Amino acid sequence: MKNNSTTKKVIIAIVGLAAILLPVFSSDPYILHIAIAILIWSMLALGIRIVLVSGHLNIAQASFMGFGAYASGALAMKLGWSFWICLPLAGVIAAILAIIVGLPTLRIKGAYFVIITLGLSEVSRRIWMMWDSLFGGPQGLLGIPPPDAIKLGGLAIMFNSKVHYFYLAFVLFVITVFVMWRFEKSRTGLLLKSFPKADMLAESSGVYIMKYKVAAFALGAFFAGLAGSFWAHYFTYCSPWDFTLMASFYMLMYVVMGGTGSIAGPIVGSAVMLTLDELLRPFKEYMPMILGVILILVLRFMPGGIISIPGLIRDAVMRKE
Amino acid sequence: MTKYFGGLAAVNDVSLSVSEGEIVGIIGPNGAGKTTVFNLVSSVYKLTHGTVKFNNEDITNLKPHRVAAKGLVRTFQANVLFKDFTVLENILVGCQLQVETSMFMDLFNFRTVRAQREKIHAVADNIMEFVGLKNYRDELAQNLAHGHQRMLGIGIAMASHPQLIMLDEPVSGMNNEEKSEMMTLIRKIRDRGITVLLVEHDMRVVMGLCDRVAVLNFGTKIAEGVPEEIQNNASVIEAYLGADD
Repeated sequence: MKNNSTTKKVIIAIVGLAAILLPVFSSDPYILHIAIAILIWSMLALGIRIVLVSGHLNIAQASFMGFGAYASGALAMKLGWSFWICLPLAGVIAAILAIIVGLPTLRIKGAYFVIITLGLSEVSRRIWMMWDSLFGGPQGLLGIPPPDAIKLGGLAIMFNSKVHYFYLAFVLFVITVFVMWRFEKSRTGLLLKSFPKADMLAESSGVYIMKYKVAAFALGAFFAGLAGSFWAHYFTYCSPWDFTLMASFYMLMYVVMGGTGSIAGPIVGSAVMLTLDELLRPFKEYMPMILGVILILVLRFMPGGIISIPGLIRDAVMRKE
Repeated sequence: MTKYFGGLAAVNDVSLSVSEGEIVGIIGPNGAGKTTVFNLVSSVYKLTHGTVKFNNEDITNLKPHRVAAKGLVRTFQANVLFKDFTVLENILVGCQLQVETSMFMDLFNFRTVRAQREKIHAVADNIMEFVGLKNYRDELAQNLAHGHQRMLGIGIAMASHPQLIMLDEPVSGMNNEEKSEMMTLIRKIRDRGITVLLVEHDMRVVMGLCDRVAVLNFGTKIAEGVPEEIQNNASVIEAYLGADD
């Protein structure tokens, strides 16, 4: 038990250190871009997972990302607000939307909730398409300003290279992982996990289920909003086509591929799948098909996801001995 | 109280009062509406007519978690547990009414949060000791024997420190030894000053345990009294055995 947790700590330390030092080894913008994508999509996947833990499947995560992106982009462009104000606001706006959507709908179980989030992702796309004056219609928002320079005494950090964005994404990612970890480790995590099993029993013990479900949903949306804001200012552009249902499906796939059992799952899932996506770029047209086959194979042969591989190998070796 | 499911009166004009420190049993043939009474009191179903009062406070149709917060908890008929949680985790879910820190505060490792965790674990230890599951603390609920699972169900309910506990068929499916253990436990609960209302089919248990018994048949109350009265009541015998022509 003790040994296991030290191993875990060592792995986390090594991976973390490697990530921090990545720009030292490679300043290739292509590599850095993929690394940034992995960090940001992990945040989104983690948000899906925390809702999944409470027994609900949210396939509108890309919409919350989109609301964060649009809110942040519109505030920066129309009102000229600084990115550093827009970023947290984008998270808060996405979380408030999640609370508004979640309060009436998180009572609904199973497929019906999935259908509602499916509806949400279509409705949100329509809103961005139709509301020309604020969201720029089908072309989206063009020319979103990059983050302002951070001035530390005489030192100014300008956001003029991928390295800076990488470190910003890394900080956001670490905050997400830390909060998710604490959230799940606290009593709230235990309660969330209890709901899919016997929510009536939890309720009759005096637990107000909705409070926890809505909190988990809002937390996932908050980090989706942050991710969206980052994405918009990083590309200086966002459009309705970036936050589609398909994008949500990809996030969900990263969660399932990596494994839903722990926080590491969605991170590993995002890292492996996004890397694979790049390696298989020559076969871009066939990508959905290839991913589909991989997904089915993973679900069939290792329902615990990619992170269950070490355990499976250990079991296989033990059996042989 | 009255409950209609569509046009069918599942519980029709039943009134029942339970005094502090009593053990009261509800009996009746299958489909008499016993469990429905529990579901009405604990607000799982909404009442069609009538009121539920607890400590002179109207708790009719309050949300289930609010009913529990008033000090009125229940167990479920089948082994409704968090099956892939350990015994400790099951009890911890039951302890939530004693938690004072908010969800947001719990994100941080403040001294108050840590102190509370210790307090709650102490409560859980105490409960596990009380229901005799101390040695199974880290065992998954689904791996427990049937009798122990029922004890755990009661442990979860006890963990919220109720004033009144409603037990739905506490000894169903148990062997005689488990039954007498359960009877001892129920008496211990009463000795802690907690009022017990139970639904049960096992007459030996009901008669041996209860101070008062109410009999339901087809959703109406046909008799109420001390066990000896009930055993000799003509309409009760008729309900169970059929009319003597």
